[in-house]
This record gives sequence, structure tokens and C-alpha cells, in this order.
Amino acid sequence: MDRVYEILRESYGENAKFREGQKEAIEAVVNGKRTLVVQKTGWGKSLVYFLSAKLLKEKERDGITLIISPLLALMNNQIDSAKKLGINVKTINSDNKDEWDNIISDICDNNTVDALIISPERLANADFVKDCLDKIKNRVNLFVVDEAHCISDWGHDFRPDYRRIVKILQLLPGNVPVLATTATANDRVVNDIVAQLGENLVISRGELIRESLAIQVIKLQKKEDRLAWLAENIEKMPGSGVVYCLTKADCDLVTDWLNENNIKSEKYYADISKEYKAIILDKFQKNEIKVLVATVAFGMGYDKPDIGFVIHFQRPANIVSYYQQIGRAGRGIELAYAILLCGEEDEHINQYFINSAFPTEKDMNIVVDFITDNPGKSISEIKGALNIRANRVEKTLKYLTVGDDIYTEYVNRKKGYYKSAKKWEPDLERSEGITAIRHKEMQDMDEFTKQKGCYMKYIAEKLDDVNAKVCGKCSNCRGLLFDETVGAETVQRAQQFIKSKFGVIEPRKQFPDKTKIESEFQFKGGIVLSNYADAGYGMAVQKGKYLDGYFSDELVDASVKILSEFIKNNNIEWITPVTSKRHPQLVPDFAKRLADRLGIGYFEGIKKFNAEEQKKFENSKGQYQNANDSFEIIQVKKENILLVDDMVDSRWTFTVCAMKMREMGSGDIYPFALANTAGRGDN
Amino acid sequence: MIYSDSAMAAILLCTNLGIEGEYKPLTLKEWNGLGKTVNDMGYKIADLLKSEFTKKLPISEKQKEQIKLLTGRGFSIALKLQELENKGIYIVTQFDSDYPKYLKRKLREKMPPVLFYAGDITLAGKIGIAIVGSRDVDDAGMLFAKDLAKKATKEKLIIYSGGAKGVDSISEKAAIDGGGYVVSFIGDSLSKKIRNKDVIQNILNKRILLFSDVNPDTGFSVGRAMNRNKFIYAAAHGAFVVSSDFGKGGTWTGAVENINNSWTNLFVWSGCVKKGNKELISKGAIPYVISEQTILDTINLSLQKDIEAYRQIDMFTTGKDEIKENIKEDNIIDLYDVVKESLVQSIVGEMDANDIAQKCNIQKGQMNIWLKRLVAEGKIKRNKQMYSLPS
Repeated sequence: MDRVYEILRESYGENAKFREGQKEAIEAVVNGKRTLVVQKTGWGKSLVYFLSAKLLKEKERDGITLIISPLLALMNNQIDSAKKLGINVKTINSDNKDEWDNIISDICDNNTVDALIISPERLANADFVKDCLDKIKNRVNLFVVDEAHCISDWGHDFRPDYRRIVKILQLLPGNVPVLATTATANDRVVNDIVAQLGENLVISRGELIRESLAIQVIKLQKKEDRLAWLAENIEKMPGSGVVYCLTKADCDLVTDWLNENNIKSEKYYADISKEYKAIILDKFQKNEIKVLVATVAFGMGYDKPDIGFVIHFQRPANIVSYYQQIGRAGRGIELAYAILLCGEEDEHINQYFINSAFPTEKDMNIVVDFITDNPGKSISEIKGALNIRANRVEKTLKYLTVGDDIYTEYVNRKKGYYKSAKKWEPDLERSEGITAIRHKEMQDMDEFTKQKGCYMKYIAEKLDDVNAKVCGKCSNCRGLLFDETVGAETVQRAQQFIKSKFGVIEPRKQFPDKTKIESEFQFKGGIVLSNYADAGYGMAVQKGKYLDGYFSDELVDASVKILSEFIKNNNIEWITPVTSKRHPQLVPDFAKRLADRLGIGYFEGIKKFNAEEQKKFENSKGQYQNANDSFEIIQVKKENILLVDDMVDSRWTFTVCAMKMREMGSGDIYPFALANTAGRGDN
Repeated sequence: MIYSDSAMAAILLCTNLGIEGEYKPLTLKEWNGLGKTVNDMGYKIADLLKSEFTKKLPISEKQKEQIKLLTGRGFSIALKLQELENKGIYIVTQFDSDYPKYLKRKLREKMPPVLFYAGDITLAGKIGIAIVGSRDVDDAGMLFAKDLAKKATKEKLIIYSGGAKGVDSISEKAAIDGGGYVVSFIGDSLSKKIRNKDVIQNILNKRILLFSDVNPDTGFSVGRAMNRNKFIYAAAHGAFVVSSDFGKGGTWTGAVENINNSWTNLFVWSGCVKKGNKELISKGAIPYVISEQTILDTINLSLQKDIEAYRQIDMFTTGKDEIKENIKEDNIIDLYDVVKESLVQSIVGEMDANDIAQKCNIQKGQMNIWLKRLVAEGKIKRNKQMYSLPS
């Protein structure tokens, strides 16, 4: 094994030394043992797999190490660090399709690649496996699973794609070496990984305490209080840092608020385009922004040594995520802050995530029955045939596919779903078991926020770190790091700010069957005042609809404020309400008051004669059909019209009404709704 | 599904999963030869997975290279197995306790080391009959096949079949419609077959078990279809030929092969005028027409003969370690083996099942099953409802 020192010194100089456990782990892997490395981030797990890859390559020229790692940011980061070791690492992912052929040829023909990194999603993608992995699969002589806590059901981070990895690990013959690495695994997760990888697993486990981190927990119930706290305190923090939010909507809000307060911020979540993400990360890396406001989509493995603070705008779901997220700060600096703000909505949002983690039994039964009776249907045919929200159909299909209950296959070039030969039984025990664990984890997190003792010690104990000890840095050890109160004036500004946020309603451009809606029959871009059930006006809308049967003057005021400019700019001369059978007066009454205040005409042009509620229909086809059957236009105006409803979700009601009104010769239709109820709450 | 090391060795060495023409899996002969070599040296098949192990073997360099390539594609196999499991297709190898025991006992060195399957594997351990015949069967033949399958089903016998058109599909359908069960060794692509709505429905209802001895993506070929005949015969306790051509065709070849190897007693429908049927009878097959006699009674004659085969030592089980490993894999304990001597001793003079059950303090239903086995093994004899020791 002297070669291992040689390589290390060639790259890091004569005095380079291994960290405790690194060399042992490499030796185990190279000798064909299955190995699990549990070490905190920054310990150098990638050195273990890169050096192992290199040594194995020297032993077996045709071989290649395959690394499964969940994050692209990580990949590029790591590929650079591998270069230092003289190791040629490539990645194949959805962003570099045009390079795939070259990379594969480098692997197969030129034999110049030591290791290949791919994401779990890729590995789970049947097309990718066929087109790409099939060509190199016979060469894989080391299989590395990064973030291996995800392969455990008990891991905090359930990901369907990792279930496929579990299957592959189970099916991997004993002669293929496996290296699993993670920064966070308690005993239960370690035991679970042992169960997957076999009893003979070599385990390397180190201490998890991060000495540079100073933790403080601050309880501020209201969102506006927490916004105010951010505005008053962030500039006191060293360098640049991250603010974690639970939802995309909150990321938007916090980013805009910080920028309004002249704190340079950018947001980062799943919906942001790849190109823009790269730009943001680059800015962040160079400390050109103060704050990166992110959901959990930002994270795992991202390596920036001088992150000065991590602030949680809401409480994360569990200790492990929390530990991982704060662990991004203070890697290469003496002191960094981890501030946890907790508020009134934390519990609600976390509950929502837990409860929507699995598809419902009902959805699964419907999908399985449909596929069994109709083998070979495409995903869009399935979506069209079932009265289930499209994103839920997708989720259910994915869950059933990784569970081997259904599968896809190309037959005559059509990709269709088929029922597998495995008997379908919803694995409720499993999903209920996991859900129960999630609730327990939430309780632990709650307990954490109530700690009187050292925060870091509590975390380390929850992670079964035998070296858990008092940190001497957190607010419980040392006294308050930051003020826990906020100025009334800042809070008021924050309140105003929340209320000034409203959303845009984009016109639908296609029918459910994908044929085009001619632009002259589409509505024009409209406005929605709030997010349903959100702080700000969302709550007032809810209360108005279900408690009072009357939308308050506060809502009229707020609407007038955002509409007065809007109607002027778009020459809107009329208001007409969408009527409802269940609440016949609610919207017309509100619209009438709105028209008075805006000083434009009011008329009732739409009649609803079908009693089906739109919200009973879950997918486009059903929603369109129902809307189309439900509304009759009794009167139109040739001038431009503001079409008012209380809630907007699928936009089919607006789409159908606008289309019918336009057909009868009305002016342009601009929709306005009080609250948006569409797709809340994921990352 | 978790495969043992020896099962994995069989999968790596004997299937073409994940291979695209660069090299070939071992032939059955090569596999048996290798198994013998490994055993004779005191090693186990699972050792083939150890790196450098092949170096120790007295085999050609070419074969060493082939084994190295085959066993070196572990990741590839894992992907492929995962893809198959996604479809509900699993593998059973000769080292697994689920492996169809009659195939193992009767075919021995001719048994397929690896079988792909979809459906309830426990069906393969059940007693049943084979119904075979040509694809282009006439109406009378169809009716006979149907009636025979129905009759067998009523007697709770499995139908072993080949999943082809004609006699195969008629008898399979009759059995399933009658509430019975089918084990089918198919001659075309298993992956393709399970995409069919009715097939998958029957599998999910546990009515049918499909076996393929080759990669599930491999389609029909004459050679493959011929090769699988032996599985159908060997799995069955009695095979019934509905109609056969003479001197040609799969039915004839399979039936003659069975006569030559004595896998199971061969019955030939004497109501069929085809020359093949007559010739098979003249070769020693038993003429058969459906009558009052139960099929169980008809085939029972042949059961005795199988016993010798049951006792044959299975392959690859000479080494000490291998025996230990087998115990671990064969985790099904047959209680019968534990109690049978006591049962025999409990019988004094002539007793009926009720008496014996009471004497041994167990349920009569279970006692009936064991008594039947004791009779089949010749340990006791039965006269109407009464059991006694053989004189």
C-alpha cells in the first residue's frame, strides 16, 4: 500500500498526511471489502473514493469506478479536486447530453477515465441505462454511493430513486466492491445500511461535532417578525451565508425583502433554471452576494469554505437535515453562526410535507387497476384517463415503479406502462412506519428548540456520536449571540411588504388535448392578490369564504391598491364576477364593491348552471370539461373586462369563460382572483 | 430478492444477461464440468466469485479468461436483475430451495442451472400432469385436451405445459377456467408474454407460473422449444400425449426423448388415429382414454419409480462446506422426515386415518397427507380406508 502514500504526496506535497481513518478505508475498498464511511463533511470522503478509484484502475486497466452522487454542484466541485490527484473524473448528466458519446468513447475505447459520477435520478432512468450505462456497465469495478443515508428507509431524506440503488446493491454479486459514504447517519441508519450491504461491512465512523459553529434558537411567531429580524441582523454576520426556507414562495418573499433592505440576495430552488443557478452559485462563491435564500434543493456536498452563517427562516423537518444544513457554514473559518428562527407556520408546513410524502392508497389502487386493465398506455394517456391531479399521477407512477409494481417498456417505439408480475399490495406498514418516524423526528426538532443545555451536544447525541460534548459556543453555553427582539417600525414595514406581494395569472395556451387555444380567445395576463392560507391576505380570504360568507373591506382595499394602475394601463371598463352555485352572493357582492371603488361599470355576464364544483376535478381534462359544461354567457361588453373570482387554481374556469365571452364579441378579458390555491408547498 | 453467492455464480456463468456478443456464457456441459472440477478440489461453486480463484483451477487459459469476464460483470448483472425484478421476473437456481424439485431429481446433469420465472414459485413443487400435443390439433383432440385438463383440475393436479398454441393453450385455459393451476415452460419471450393482459391477470391471481430457461428477452426458436420439452416431462407425474405426428415435430421428439430417459410415465390418447400416437404406444407408452378412474390412480403407478431419483445426491454437494451452505439455503424443514418413523410405529394391525390421527394427537387432514406419502414410499400399505404395515 505504499503506492497510496506516493499518490497523496505527488499531489499534496512531501508532508501530506491522511486524516484519521482515510488510509484504512482506502485499503479496505481496494482489497474488495464493502465499506461504509460516516464522517463529517470536510473530512475528505471524496479523497477515499478517488484514491481507491485510481488504485483499482492501476490494478485493472479496463475498470472504472462508478460514483452515485445526488448533486450536480457537487460533481463539478469534485471533478476539480480529483484533477489535483491526477484522476480523470467525468460526469454524465442531463445537462451534457452532447458530450455523452465522447465520454463513453473515452471510457470504452481510449480507457482514459478513472471514475464516472452520475446522479441517482440517472441511474433510475431506464432510457439512460439503456443508452449509456449498458455500454460501460461491464467495466464497473467499484460502486460508490455518496449520501448513503438516503438508502436507508429510516434516513431522514426519503427519495424514491434511492430505492432503486438499494435494489442494485442487494443484487450486486459479492465480488463487486462497494463504498458507501455519508456525513450523517445515526445507529439506526448505520444498521440499516449494514443490512443492505452485508454483515462484513467495514465501517469508518468519526466524530460529528463542528467546532466552528455557534448556534442560537430564536422564537418569533409571525413571519413579519422574522423578516424584520433578518433585516436588522444579517449585516452583523460575517461574510456571506444562506437563509433556508421551507417553501419556494417564502424564498421569493425573503429574497425580495432582503433586496428591498439593500442586502444583496439571490434565491435558489428547484424551479430556477440551470443556467441561472450556475450564475447564482458563482456569485455566491465569489461573495458577490450577502445571502443565498434557498430551499433544501440547495445543499448536499456543496463546498464553500467561508460560509459565515446559515439562518433558518423556518424550522427544518428533523435534526439530521438541520445538522447537514448548518454544516455548510464554517468549514474553513474559525467562527460561523447557525441561527434557527422558529415560527407559527413551521409545524403546519412540515406536517404537509410528511403527509404528502407518499401517494395515497386510493391513488395507487386506481393507477394499478388502470394499468392492469390497459397495458401499454403512455403517461399522458394515463393522466388523461384518470381523475387525479397530473402531478399526483406522476408521483404515484414513480412510487409504484420503484416498488416494482409497474414498469415501463418500449413496444413499437411507444413507451408504455405495464403491470409487473408481482402481486399488488400497498405496503402501508412501510409507509406508515416511515410516517411515524417522521413525526418522531419532528418532535426531536421541537425538543431541540426548547433545549436549556448545549445545542450542539444535543445534535451530536441524536446522531449517536459517542464523542458528543459541550460546544462552549452556542447561546446556551455562552449567552445570547444576537438580540431576540425586533423593532416595531421594521416589523410594520415587513407587514406592508408582505401585503404588497401579489402574483400573476398567466393565460392557458393549450386545450387538454394539446391543441392550441387561439390567442384571440385566450385571456390576458391577470393578477392574484395572495397565496391561499398564507400570511398576508391569504388568511383573510379563507376566513371570508368559509366563516363570514363576506369578503372584508380590507380585501377590497388591498385589491383596489393593486388594480387601480392595472385597469388604467389596460383600458378595463367593466367588472364581471364568476358566479357560484354554493355561494351565489359572495363573489358578485365583492366585485360590485370593487367596481364602485375603482369607478368602473359592473354587470353580471356569466351564469353557472351546473352544480359540480370545479375542485372535484383533479386533472386538466376533467376540469376543462366541467368548466366548459358549467358556464353560460348571458351578456358581454365590447370593452375590456376584469373577470373576478375568489380562488384560482387550474385556471380552466377563467380560460373557458374568457373563450366563450370572446366568441360572443367581448373586449379583452383580464382575470383577477383573491387567492391562488394551486400547487403549494414543495421545494 | 436476495441471491446467495452460489446462486449468483450460476447466474453470472450460465446466463447471457448483460452480454452483447463479446463472450459467451458456459454451456450446460461446461458448467457441469466446472462444477465437478471445483467440487473435486474441495471448493464450492461460490468460490468462483473470489478474485484470483480461477487461477487455482486445472482448466484452459481460454476458459479462465471466459470465467473472469463472466464473473467480472457483476454490476451489469445487478442492473439486469433489477430490470427484471421491476417486471416481476425472478430467477431460481439449482442451489435454491425453491428450485422445482422434480426437475432436479429427474434431470440431474440435464437440469437447467438457472430458471427465470414469473408467478407463484410454490406451484412448481406441486404434483401434476403434463398435457402435450401438436399445435394443429383437430376438434376431437381439443375436446380431449380440455376434458383431461378439467378432470385433472378437479383432482387438484397442476397442469404442466409449454405455453404454445393448440393443445398447450387449450389445456392451460381449461385448467384456469376450472379453478386450477398451470406451470408453463414457455418457448418464447417471457418479457413479451407478461405484457399480455390475460397472462398478467392469471399470474396475479396465482393461477399460472411461467418458466423460461433462457434470457426472458429471447424469442422463439425451434431448438429452444425442443430443449424445453424435457422440463415439462420431468416436472410432471405422468405425461399425456393428445396427438403426435410420427417421426417429426416437437411432440414426437419430446415423447420419444421421455421414453428413452424414463422421466415420467407416458400416456397416449388412444382415441386419436394419428400414426404418431400408435407408434408411441408400440414404443411402450400406455394407451389412455378418459374413464371413471381418477387420474391420480392412473399416474400413481408411476410414483414408485421416481423415488430412486429423489434419493440421488444433487450436484455440487460433495464438499463439506457445500453441505453446510445447502442447509442454510434449504431452509424449509420437511417435518415428514422427522415424524415418519414414529408414524409407522404407531400403526398396529389395521387402522383408519382417524384412529392414527387420534393416536398421534394431530389433525386428521395432516395425517391423511402423511399417510399418502408413506403409502407412496411403500412404508405402509392401504386397503380401502384401512392402513397397515407391509407384510
